[in-house]
Amino acid sequence: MGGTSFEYSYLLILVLLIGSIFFAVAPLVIARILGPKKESSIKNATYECGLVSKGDPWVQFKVQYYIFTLVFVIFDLETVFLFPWAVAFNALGAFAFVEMLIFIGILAGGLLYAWEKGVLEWR
Amino acid sequence: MMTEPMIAGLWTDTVSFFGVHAVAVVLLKIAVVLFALLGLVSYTVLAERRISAFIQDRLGPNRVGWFGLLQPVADSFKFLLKENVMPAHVNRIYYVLAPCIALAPALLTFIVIPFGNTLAGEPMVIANLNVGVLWMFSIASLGVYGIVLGGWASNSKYPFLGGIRSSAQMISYEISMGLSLIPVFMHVGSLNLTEIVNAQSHRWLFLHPNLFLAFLIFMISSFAETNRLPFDLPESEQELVGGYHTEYGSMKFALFFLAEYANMITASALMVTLFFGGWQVPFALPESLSHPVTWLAPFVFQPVGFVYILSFFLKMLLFLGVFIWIRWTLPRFRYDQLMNLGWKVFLPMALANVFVMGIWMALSV
Amino acid sequence: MLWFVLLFGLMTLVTGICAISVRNIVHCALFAVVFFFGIACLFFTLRAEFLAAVQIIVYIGAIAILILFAIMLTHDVTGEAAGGMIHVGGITGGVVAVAVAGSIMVALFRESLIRNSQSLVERTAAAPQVSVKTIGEALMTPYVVPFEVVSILLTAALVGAIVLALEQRPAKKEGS
Repeated sequence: MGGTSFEYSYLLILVLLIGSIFFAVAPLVIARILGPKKESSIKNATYECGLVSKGDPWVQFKVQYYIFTLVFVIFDLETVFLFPWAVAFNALGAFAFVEMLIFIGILAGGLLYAWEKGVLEWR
Repeated sequence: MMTEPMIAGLWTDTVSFFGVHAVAVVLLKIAVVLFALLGLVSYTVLAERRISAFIQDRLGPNRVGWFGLLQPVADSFKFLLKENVMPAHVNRIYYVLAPCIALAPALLTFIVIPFGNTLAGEPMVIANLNVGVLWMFSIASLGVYGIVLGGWASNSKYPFLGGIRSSAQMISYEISMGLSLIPVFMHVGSLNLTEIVNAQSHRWLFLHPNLFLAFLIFMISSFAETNRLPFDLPESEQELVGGYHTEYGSMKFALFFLAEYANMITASALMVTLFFGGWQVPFALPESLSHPVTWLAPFVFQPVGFVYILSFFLKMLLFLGVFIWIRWTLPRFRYDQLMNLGWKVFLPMALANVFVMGIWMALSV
Repeated sequence: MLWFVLLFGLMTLVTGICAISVRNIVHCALFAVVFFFGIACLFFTLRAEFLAAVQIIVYIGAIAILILFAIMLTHDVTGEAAGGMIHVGGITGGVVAVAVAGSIMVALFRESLIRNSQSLVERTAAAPQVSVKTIGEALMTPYVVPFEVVSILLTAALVGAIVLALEQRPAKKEGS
């Protein structure tokens, strides 16, 4: 029985997925049918507060956004490892706590390194 | 190779499950939740406009219908009838896809939230997943794509920068959001939201000091996650015009807008579920409902399930009110302050909270 | 269930091939997202819901975002300027890919694909559902050494990434 409820949960999710895609797409379709269409080259130009757009819209942004994303990936993984540990924590006792201390300690070292190198400093 | 019995087994399971009245019930539940969510979204928009007007000593939209209550209907027709502008410079496929990607996950996350106990024996949750919270996180992380793609596909400077900013902000706060919940799972020992609600039948989790800190981190992070003030840098008008949706109009803009409010509703619902007892009614423990001696006694006839749904709904409205109240009260952060807060304050704080919770639990056993 | 496995498998295969063969790298990245999602769906059909959720969180929610950011940092995305595939990096990459795929295949066939003349799908349907708690206990008792090694690996990745990124920090700063 546990097995069936598992499959049904995800079958329901599939149904809701279709439902939510419908709710996202249907208004667009209706709006496309109902809305007027009056094209003009000025209306279709890039919006830049009334000025004529200059240069490449693909501006170079700070590399720091990328570094933050890198650090994010590492800590996202750490969080994912913490989830099963937290759920099993009550059943595991002190030894698991020490193990997790080591795990987080090593990663906190990485965080401190990043901190010290000024990576977390927004410039 | 594959096995008639397997398919046949699934088939009989399907029949035994769907054969009863259940298919109607399940589809009804899904439809009601989806429509209620969308209705709630549009009325949250109205509430935001009215409350902001109240805070700024204005009137707000009060002409369409009684106290402006039909304003959302008028708005949705307006959005449908507006011209469907498709600027010449955009990447057409992703430009249209982005608002859909923003909205669909926002609707999908609600599926695992128990919004009531039971009603006529039917549990008031659509899918009771064992990894409920992880499901919410995983689906919520898809929302970033709508924003990044919207910004990129617009092929214009302001949306591009807005999209990059927004995604960097969202991922930064996703970490502290996830870490802040670790103590909750240590306490409850499950990722299943129904079990988390049941664990709060005697004491709501926010009453625990560690979990109260977890709640604060989670709440503030969810403000950043939903791009609400004081963290609305992606769409800060003074710098980036409209941020990632600068080039959007009509219904496509409306979908981004709805997604933001749907995310807000989900965040409120999650806070209620994780820290404020979910559908539980204060001072009325579930077991006492079987022998009605509490103040709930007049309501304890059959549809006590409605009381629970109402309780969940009211708590959620409270948090939505907080979202709106804060938006119109606090000024915006600077971007470096925002990043510092996420990485240098909340991340270490959430990690420390995990430690303290572990020690607390070890001592209290 | 079999139909779902086939459907998701096909989806994974097609989007995977698209992800490595399409020229526009933004399309590549988005095909990769669908590809990761297909793998998550396959995990769902194998009843590994924790793994599936983690697959979405880590691969779609983090790694693909990282790839998208990397693409947006670079300018040329249409792939017109990209040269032929045959060079040293391509060859070593291909060798590593084949080696990884081969070892996974060997492990799969030896360990799980055919045992007791039952297919993988059949046995997953019969297997008890693994809870998150079981995974946590397994991580903390028999697999504790790999678990700790993972933290070292992650920290090494973090430090390496920072060293590389700081080295290449550009002097010019436009945008914010």
